[in-house]
Amino acid sequence: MPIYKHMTKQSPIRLTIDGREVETRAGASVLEAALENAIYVPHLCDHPDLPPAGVCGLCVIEIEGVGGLPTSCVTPVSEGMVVRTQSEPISRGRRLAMELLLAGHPVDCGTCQKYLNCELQSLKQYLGVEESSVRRRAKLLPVDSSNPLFIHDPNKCVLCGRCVRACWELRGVGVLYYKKRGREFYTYTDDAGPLAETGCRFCGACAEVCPTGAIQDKQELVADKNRKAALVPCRGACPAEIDVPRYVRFIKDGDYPAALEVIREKVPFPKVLGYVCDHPCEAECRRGEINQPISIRELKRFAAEHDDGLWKQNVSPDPPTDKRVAVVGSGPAGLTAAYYLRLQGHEVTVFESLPEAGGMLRYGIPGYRLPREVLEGEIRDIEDMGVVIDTGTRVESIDELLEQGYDAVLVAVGAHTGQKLVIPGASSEGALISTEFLRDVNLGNDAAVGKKVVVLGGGNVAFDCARVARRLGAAEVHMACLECRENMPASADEIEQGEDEGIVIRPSHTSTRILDRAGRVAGVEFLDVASFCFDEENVPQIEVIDGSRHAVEADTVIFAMGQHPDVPEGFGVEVTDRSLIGADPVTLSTNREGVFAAGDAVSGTASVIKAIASGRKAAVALDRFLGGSGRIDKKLAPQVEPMPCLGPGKGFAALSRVAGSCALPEDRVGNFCTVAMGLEEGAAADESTRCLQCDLRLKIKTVEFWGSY
Amino acid sequence: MRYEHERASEHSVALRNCGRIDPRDLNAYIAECHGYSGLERALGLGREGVIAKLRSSGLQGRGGAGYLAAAKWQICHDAEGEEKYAVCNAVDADPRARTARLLLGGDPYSVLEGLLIGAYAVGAAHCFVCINTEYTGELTVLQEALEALRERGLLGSGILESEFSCDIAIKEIAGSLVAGEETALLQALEGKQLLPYRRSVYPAVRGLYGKPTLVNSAETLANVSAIFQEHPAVTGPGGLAGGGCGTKVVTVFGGVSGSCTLEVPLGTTIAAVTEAAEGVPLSDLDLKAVQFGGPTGVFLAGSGLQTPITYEALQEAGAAMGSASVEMFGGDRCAVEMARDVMLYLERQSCGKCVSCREVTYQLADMLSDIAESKGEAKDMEMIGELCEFMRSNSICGLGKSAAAPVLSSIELFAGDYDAHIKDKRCPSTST
Ligand SMILES: Cc1cc2nc3c(=O)[nH]c(=O)nc-3n(C[C@H](O)[C@H](O)[C@H](O)COP(=O)(O)O)c2cc1C
Ligand code: SF4
Ligand code: SF4
Repeated sequence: MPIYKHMTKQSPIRLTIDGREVETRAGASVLEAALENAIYVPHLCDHPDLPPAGVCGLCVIEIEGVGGLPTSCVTPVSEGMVVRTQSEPISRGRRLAMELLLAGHPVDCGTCQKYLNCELQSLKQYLGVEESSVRRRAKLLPVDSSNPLFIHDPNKCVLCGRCVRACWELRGVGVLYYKKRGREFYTYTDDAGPLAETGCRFCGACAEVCPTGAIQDKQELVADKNRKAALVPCRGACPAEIDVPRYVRFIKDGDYPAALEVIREKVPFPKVLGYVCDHPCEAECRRGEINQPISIRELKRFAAEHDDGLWKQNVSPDPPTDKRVAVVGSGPAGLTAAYYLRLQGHEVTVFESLPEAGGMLRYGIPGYRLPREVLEGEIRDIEDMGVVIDTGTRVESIDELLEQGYDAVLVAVGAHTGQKLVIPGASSEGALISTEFLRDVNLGNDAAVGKKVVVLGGGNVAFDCARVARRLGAAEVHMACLECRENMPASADEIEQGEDEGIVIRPSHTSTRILDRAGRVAGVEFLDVASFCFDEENVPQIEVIDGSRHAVEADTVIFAMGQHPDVPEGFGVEVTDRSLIGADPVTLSTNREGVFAAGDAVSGTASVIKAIASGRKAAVALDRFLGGSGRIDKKLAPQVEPMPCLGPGKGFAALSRVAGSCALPEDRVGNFCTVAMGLEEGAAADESTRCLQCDLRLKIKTVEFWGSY
Repeated sequence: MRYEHERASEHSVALRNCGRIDPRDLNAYIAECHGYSGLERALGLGREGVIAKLRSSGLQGRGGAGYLAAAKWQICHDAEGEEKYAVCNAVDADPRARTARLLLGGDPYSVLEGLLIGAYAVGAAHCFVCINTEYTGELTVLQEALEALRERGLLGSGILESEFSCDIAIKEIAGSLVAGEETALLQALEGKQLLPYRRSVYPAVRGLYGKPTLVNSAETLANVSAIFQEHPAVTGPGGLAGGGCGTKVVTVFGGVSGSCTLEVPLGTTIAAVTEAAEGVPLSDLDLKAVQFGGPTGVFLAGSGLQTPITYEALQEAGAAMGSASVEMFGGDRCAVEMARDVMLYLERQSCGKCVSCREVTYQLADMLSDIAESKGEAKDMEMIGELCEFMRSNSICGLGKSAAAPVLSSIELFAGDYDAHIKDKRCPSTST
């Protein structure tokens, strides 16, 4: 041991517990000393993250030369102290304490959500308290499920005071109190009003530290879910596992480059995502239970717009592995995989049949949603790492690549082939397919539409077609889809922005034929749909309303109902009966050794973030296949521990969502200028402050049950 | 209601000016009552000198525990910290006691002068007076007094042209039995819920906001100013500086004459105080027992009534000074009902933090109610003993620690009453 250790003021304290000499730091409590040394002392009100209270009466011990049964959680250790943790008087005291704690506690453990996860139950078993020598009673207090996120059953409260200490001492929020109703105590807000009106920050610390079932997460939010994913659902919902609360906190703290680095730890397309991600995270955001979810995507864009580029200094490819990877397709899946594989030290070439890289990001998503310079900037960053992109080169078969000496191949060709419904008139002139239409527009080819356009489909691609049609001069654009309005697959902001641009949405419609005049589209005939769903075999079940036949005039019809990959004949990988590339869902390997597949080509049209996630997964699998570790996560952002203290939250619950503003509809239908304006700095600060910081809860230590000692 | 001090008792120290001067008149306090000569003397003595003088007086804290005042000041003085606080406890947690009320309403300057001397001695620049919210009239007097002091330069920076700067703020405290407990007061001062906490070190070392904090009762502080003023009540025979033990303010109630507050020399017996309050000899009073020291005080009867009111003698008799109130119970009362009523009250006053105090007061209240209704069983008595011991040893504040005392003393003194209820299923105090 180095000399200076003896010289520090805080030299360790030696004491004897149950005949064993143990060492601990000065200032530790006897309870801490025992637990640290794997000597279990039962305790309930004490919690490793909270100041001790000494109120539950369970952790009593004996100390030589000290009378009575001192409470070990509030007794500091001293040099030479001799402690006993087991004796007849000790167990009598502990049992009486437990009997009293249970005197008003319900007995029906089996029906409690906390069953088998309850510290009280575990302690009761440890102490072997079956019968009670004290009088038992039912408290008959009302259960409160009126608040968002949490359910509060004061009957199960044993007044350990942990929630109150967590609320005041750990979080500095201060909204929970000891309360009394009739003769019964419980903990609650001061005036028993709704949590939202008290200044609660909904951090969940109270539920986390409650040892019983008194404060719990609402069952529907956590049942059958992975704990971490349920408690930090935004992160859990992000297919690429971006650490959302962490970057939102960096934005709140004004460190925008660090926020960007957090995003870059998982994806090479922060800004693209900031524009076009369909943000599944926001649907899960716990703030949404209180009022509206955090504008996570807007904050991502904000962070990306404040890139200082310094992250590049910390990112460089590992030493060359002498392995060569061919990636077929330069969409988000292919480029993401290429980027991470390059960083793992492999040589990566991406083949793209179209003239420019980006896949659907360029040839599907219109420019008013994703400015081209944003896409090009992030592709350039990927190229800067040494990824070679070979555009205008269509790969006709895998063998071709293997012959060129590539060690592994990733097929990420996307789903660029659309389809038409098989209905009369579908081949009339003026009946187009979404993917071809959008590709032509983005290639700059002549892609004229008529004055009246009907788009068949209700997803985001359908909206892209409809909104592009408006921009190409269509005066009247209708969209018709099978789904009812509530179930339309398009994202809410697409629907809103589309309607603002004058698009008429006709939900619950099924098209029965394309009307034509001399071989040219003249309109679409529809029936109204009473109900629409998929059966167990995923076959659509449509029930129409009799006598609802009607027609909508049109000179252009665009089919936007599902895409599949364009796989050349004799390509050399298995294609499923849904026209997708067959790949193992976990390893993404195909039927051919060394050939993997990712993105929409495997899943069918999904989303940019799913494609990126799939690209990450493919990179891991490929790297492992090539003999690497498969560890592609980067540590870029500073590793700072977040402050556990949140402070008073008066008005916090009422703060409403700050969404990015949009250009005025009349200013945008005539051109392809960017619609979404993003967030100003003040707005981003406001929005990031609304975050509940759900991840802080996972920092709270869990109490070890006696079984683990 | 009678207050002994109104008869200008020669014993009065704490209440020495009450009823003698206009409490709002700072000039009268200075001119007629040696006002602020105490602070002036203290400033001249220096901080160590102040504590030495207080030590030689032997003053024990008048708030209940009787801790040597100078020892507490010394600890706070020695405690490390730039920032320190001094707090005057003027809550009167025992609803029958009213010492702080009399002092703040009748002679606020004596208390405030004592508080400033304490603040000076320990090195505090911020003081608080914690006053019961019910004391609205006294609050006004106190506010006016602070205003007058500020105007006179007796509060604020450079008091009495010295280096000493200090301010005093008022904190209103909703009255309850735990409200007078010092850790609970500190919580309330921090804006938290008024609840005691288990202290591992004295508030004098780590108190308000974790800083060294001197907490003294209003009565202690009124004694302090008298000591430093070298007031005749202190220097005279029987006074602390005259070789005596000083005085204690006592409130007697429950008899025919309502409620009566007197200041008596320490060492006066409980019997003598009771006689003085009621104005008749003990033999004419038909007393079953008295409860001494507030709601958690013990019952005393017979020879116990001859216990002198000193911290030591009370302790020897198994009692405690507490609020020094004396509640009289007539000869026709049933001991079980008396104990039950006290326990019902204590159950309501428990703050609920400790399982011991919260649950045991609940259990005892139920058991004593049953016994009082002659529904109790012999095994209940055993359980009462075990629960009482558990409550005493596990509770974190003085309330829980002492809440068993009334029951235990009642059982000891009046086992016959309990037997009658349990064995004979009848109440010995009713003829039926
Ligand atoms: C339940 C309880 C109630 C108390 N009530 C009072 C009170 O009303 N006034 C008071 O001065 N001290 C009260 N005390 C004592 C205080 O905690 C503290 O010891 C006292 O204010 C210190 O002042 P002293 O040293 O001047 O006596 C109470 C203590 C307990 C446990
Ligand atoms: S609600 Fe839970 S954490 Fe809070 S006091 Fe009750 S048992 Fe303890
Ligand atoms: S002893 Fe009673 S009043 Fe005191 S802190 Fe514990 S529960 Fe509260």
